[in-house]
Amino acid sequence: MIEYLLLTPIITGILCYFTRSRKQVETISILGSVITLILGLSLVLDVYRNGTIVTWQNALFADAFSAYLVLIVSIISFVSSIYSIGYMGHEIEHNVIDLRKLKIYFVLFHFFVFTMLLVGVTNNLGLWIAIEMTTLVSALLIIFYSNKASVEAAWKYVIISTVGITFALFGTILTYYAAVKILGETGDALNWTSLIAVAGQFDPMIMKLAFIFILIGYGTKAGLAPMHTWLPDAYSESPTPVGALLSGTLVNCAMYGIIRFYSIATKSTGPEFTSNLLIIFGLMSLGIAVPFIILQEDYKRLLAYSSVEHMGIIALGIGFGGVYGIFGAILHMFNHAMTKSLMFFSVGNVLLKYGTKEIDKVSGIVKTMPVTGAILLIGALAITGSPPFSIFISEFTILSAGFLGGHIIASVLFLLFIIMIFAGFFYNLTKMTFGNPKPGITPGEVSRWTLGAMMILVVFVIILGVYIPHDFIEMINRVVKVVM
Amino acid sequence: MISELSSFALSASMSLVSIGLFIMISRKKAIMQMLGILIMENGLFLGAISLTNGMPLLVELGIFFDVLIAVLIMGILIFRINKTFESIDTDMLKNLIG
Repeated sequence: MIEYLLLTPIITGILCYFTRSRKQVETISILGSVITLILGLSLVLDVYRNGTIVTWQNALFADAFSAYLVLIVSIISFVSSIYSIGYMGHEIEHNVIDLRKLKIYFVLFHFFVFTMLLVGVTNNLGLWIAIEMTTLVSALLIIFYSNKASVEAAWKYVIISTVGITFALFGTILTYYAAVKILGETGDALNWTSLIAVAGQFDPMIMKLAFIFILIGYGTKAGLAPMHTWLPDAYSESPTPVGALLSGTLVNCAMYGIIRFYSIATKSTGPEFTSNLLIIFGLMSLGIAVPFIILQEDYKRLLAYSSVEHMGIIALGIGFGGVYGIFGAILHMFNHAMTKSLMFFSVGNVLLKYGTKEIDKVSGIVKTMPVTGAILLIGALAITGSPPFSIFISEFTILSAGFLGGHIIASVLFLLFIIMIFAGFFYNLTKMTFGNPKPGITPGEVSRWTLGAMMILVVFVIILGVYIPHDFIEMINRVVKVVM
Repeated sequence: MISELSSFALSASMSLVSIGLFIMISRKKAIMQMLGILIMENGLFLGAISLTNGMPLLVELGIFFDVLIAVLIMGILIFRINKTFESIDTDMLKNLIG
């Protein structure tokens, strides 16, 4: 099962390269992502019914947490591939790209999905390899338009992420060193399944050092401040569907790495040390996002800083700990992925229509594109945490965990920061959505494909805000059990 | 567990990592930043060998493969930087701020 799930995106990517026309490449891409989605969902169901799966001589495995990550990646990559057809179709019709570039785009897109699925199902601290692979493939996607800005963004992204990831490798080596003392030099000494069983006996000093390196390393990839500097550049210069994949799934993959190591490190160092570090980094990410969101001039960068904020919230949730904190953080990973991709899709339509990324040059979206405008407003309300949307539930859970756990100052600061972010977000977005559009912009939506992709996500954003199905709660509860 | 030789190797590996970082922040050419990363990776491998006699084979192979691809892709990027900016001076890459 896991093998097929991993093979599908690779085969789809290779097939995309050997197509002759736009229609063929689009058909293969959409078929491939449908199959990936089906296989991903059936893997999730399988894990939910039968528990952990281990195959390929312990190299691949899927427990509740991996299945959860696979669920997020397969849903977002599916909607993103639908959106890509509309978005890239528009670019081809306006001669921004040619057929060769379109094929390369879809090849890289599916390879990128493969690397992110691999992050979830690796039964190994060799998780590092998969995360480094995501950096490399996505760098080629960021450089897609090959203009000055995208070259600069891709270079910064590769250099900062690779240095960060190198630190994470050192953390991994230290963890292995701690594990070898207990388990002996076997090939299994890096596997989750064997590590988590003996994590309590690890040397606390080494694990403290290891956790710091891991948090800095994977934190760079997750966009925790102050290592977030690559993130706004990469998000704003990459093609919009890729921006959605980066913000919805890639940062979650890095967060997954941090949370896995958190559960190992906490068992040996005690909860105090790891929680405090996560709370500090979480608050720092929230605080740094505030001025950049209020004074932002570019709407894609606005969304990028909002991603920094939400990664901070997830780190805070894990840091507050307890069942509520971790439950909230895990739920927030899903909600943030859905809502942020939705936001990226709607500003992608705005970018295609208005041809500029500057907030001041865009006005009257609700008049030119009624559906996109409405969804943009829904998404903005959701992403800033207003009820009755899904993010409200998870932020509220995290906040109550903070007060329950006695982290009064951190919780009050958290509240203050999200209020300021709400104000900044709406100050910028109302300028874009309302008012009269500039002359010369013809009303009408960009493409039916892009709207279709957005509709799927709107369903998730609204439904999960008012009603979370029992099975979904049970799934998250199992993830919480894996983490704690 | 750590013998005298491997503790020397460990300190050498830490200094390699620091030298790599220093090269990355003190040189302006894009290619030197790539070299800085390679020096850091070398330091880490020395560290891994001195601490634990090396990682499991599968992981080791995966890391080698990744570093190879990373250098290839950074090569492509440097080529693109040279083509778009007509120099590989990273001081040119200062347009995206805020």
